[in-house]
Amino acid sequence: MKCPNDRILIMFLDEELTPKDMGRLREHVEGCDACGKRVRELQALRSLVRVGEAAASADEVAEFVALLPDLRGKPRGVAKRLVVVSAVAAAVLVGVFIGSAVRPPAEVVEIHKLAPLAADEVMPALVSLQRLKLAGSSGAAIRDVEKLICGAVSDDGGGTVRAVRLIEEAEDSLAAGDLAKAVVRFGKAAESAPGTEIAGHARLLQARVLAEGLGLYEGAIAKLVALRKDTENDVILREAGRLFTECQMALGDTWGAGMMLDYLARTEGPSKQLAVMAAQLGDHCYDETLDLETAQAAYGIWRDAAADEEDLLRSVRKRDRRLALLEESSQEDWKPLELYLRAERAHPYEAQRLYAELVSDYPDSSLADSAFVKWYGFEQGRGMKESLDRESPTPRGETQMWDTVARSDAPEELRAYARLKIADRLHAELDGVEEVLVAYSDVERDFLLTPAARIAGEKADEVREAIREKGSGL
Amino acid sequence: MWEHAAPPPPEPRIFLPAGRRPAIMRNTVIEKGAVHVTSIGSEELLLLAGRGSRKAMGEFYRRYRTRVLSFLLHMGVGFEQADDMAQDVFLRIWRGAARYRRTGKCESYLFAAAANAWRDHRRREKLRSATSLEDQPEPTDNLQPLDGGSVRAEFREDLYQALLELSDNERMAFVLSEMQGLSYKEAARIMRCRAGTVGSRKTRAIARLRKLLVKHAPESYLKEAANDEMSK
Repeated sequence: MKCPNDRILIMFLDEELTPKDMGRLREHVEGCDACGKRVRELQALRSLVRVGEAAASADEVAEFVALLPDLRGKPRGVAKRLVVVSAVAAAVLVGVFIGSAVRPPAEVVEIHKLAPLAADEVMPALVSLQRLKLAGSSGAAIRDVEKLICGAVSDDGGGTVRAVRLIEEAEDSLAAGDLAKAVVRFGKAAESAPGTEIAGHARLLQARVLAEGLGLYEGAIAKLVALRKDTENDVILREAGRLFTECQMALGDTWGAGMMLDYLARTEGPSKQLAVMAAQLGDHCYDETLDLETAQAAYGIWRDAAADEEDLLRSVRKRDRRLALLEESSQEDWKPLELYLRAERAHPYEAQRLYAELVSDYPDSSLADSAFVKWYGFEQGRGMKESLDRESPTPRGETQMWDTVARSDAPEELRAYARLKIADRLHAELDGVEEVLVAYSDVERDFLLTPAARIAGEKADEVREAIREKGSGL
Repeated sequence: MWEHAAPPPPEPRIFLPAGRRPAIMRNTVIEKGAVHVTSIGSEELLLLAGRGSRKAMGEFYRRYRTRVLSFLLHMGVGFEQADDMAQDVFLRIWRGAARYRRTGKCESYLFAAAANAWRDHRRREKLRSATSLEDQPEPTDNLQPLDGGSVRAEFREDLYQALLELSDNERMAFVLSEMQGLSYKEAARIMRCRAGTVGSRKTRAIARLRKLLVKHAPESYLKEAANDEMSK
């Protein structure tokens, strides 16, 4: 290939050639000393002259932004004519509708015409103020609303004005992603106007940024507790309550979260948001922390709050089943349930130990049978030869299982439980009272110190009592 | 009193950059304007500015102010005047941002505005020089505010002097394509000519600069630069 001229080399460097030509030229340049040298020179020139990415300083930007003219309200040319025509048309329409019963739309811009504000109207006004700003309303309207809010909240006004300004600055910081600065400014805003709605609003925002932006849940809880001293505004307090619950859940304080949910349910009634939070808390407590008391309370709140919410019925059966299980058993029974749930989540060896613990410590629990079956399943895996369908053992299979365990070298408590169950089976199936009594007595005698022996003794007493009452018929 | 104007039940909302929201915030409503301006593209900034966002315009200015200033300086405008003109270019963009359509890179749009400002300036300058020969501007030390006293800065000063000796078209082709990194197509749109013409003007510019820079500056600059590149 013939050496290309400068123009082609420059186009090669600028990547303005076709891919095919680029490839051919690249090969040539790699092999040709003269062209390689020329390309390196051109590259060197480029590296010296190329303008970097230096950005303007913050001061320069601020100065420039301050110079930007307000573009609204200054239509030009066609737009100006259109506005004039629209204005005339609007005037005609207004004339037609004046005096009629047409209700004005809920337009936030009208707020500045309402004065003075009652205390419970401050928060909506603050929200409206935000909307005015987002909608790019005129500065005069915004100032009017600010004055209105400040006048309503505080007589002296000075601190409140400053608080409003600080809140604005903090929101600017948030928009710029400077969360720490926003937290400080919200805090200062709250301190500027203590005991006012604005302070409450500022504290709430501060807590929200701490919790959701920075993950500092303890700090957020402290701010939310402080907030309660500032305001009695229901809207702020409710929102604070929700955030409080979220923080406690994040920190693992499920009991506190349950208390707060209960408070919210009683004060604000059922709502979709509450139902969602309660379901989340219930699942969290049931599946992870095994805080069954809180789980029951949360599921109860969920059931009440989600009653009318069809879209919340996903997993309803699971939660209903759980709630039924919790409600039908007393709190004393929750210990075996907790053991059972823990065993379900544990490693097989640990699980078998936990099932055995449940059977031996709580033989009269409704879960003891299931735990025994699970324990037996693990034993089977370890070499017990007798086959058994542990998922749905037949009564015959159950008897066989108990008999196997009763005769095995299984732990004493489990053998006692197996003997007890055999006695129960005899009691249920056989008419021979003597045999039943013998069976219970065997348990009582052989496993003297086990809970199963105590239960067997109680049952043997019941049988004897029945014999006495019925006389010789038995 | 309040009923007819009362907004729906207020929910305190939060402004947070989307990328920093933890999972717990999945139900939080993110308000309009809550995007971190530094994380969005320049074209989007212009579109936002077109909707009246001062923050977006500020960020756009922050990113491109130096490049526009550099363009004007290398096109032969004095520093103070270039500073004013750069600001004017951005103000023009602010006023016309509503008409901006994303048809190409925003640099084309920006440098087209800068080139227009430069053409106006050039026209005024020619008019002034025609009426008064004494008011010729003396473009000296123009680059001092941008560069330090390094070898590179000295070279840039020499380059600046050499650029002044090129024709307007050659200079603009060189500045837009070589210095600002625009493609031939983008530069051609700004220069109102064909892409091939940009290539030939740039080639001529480089050929002349090669001679002029040898005259203005010792060869060592280019050699040093070439050595630097080699070592890299």
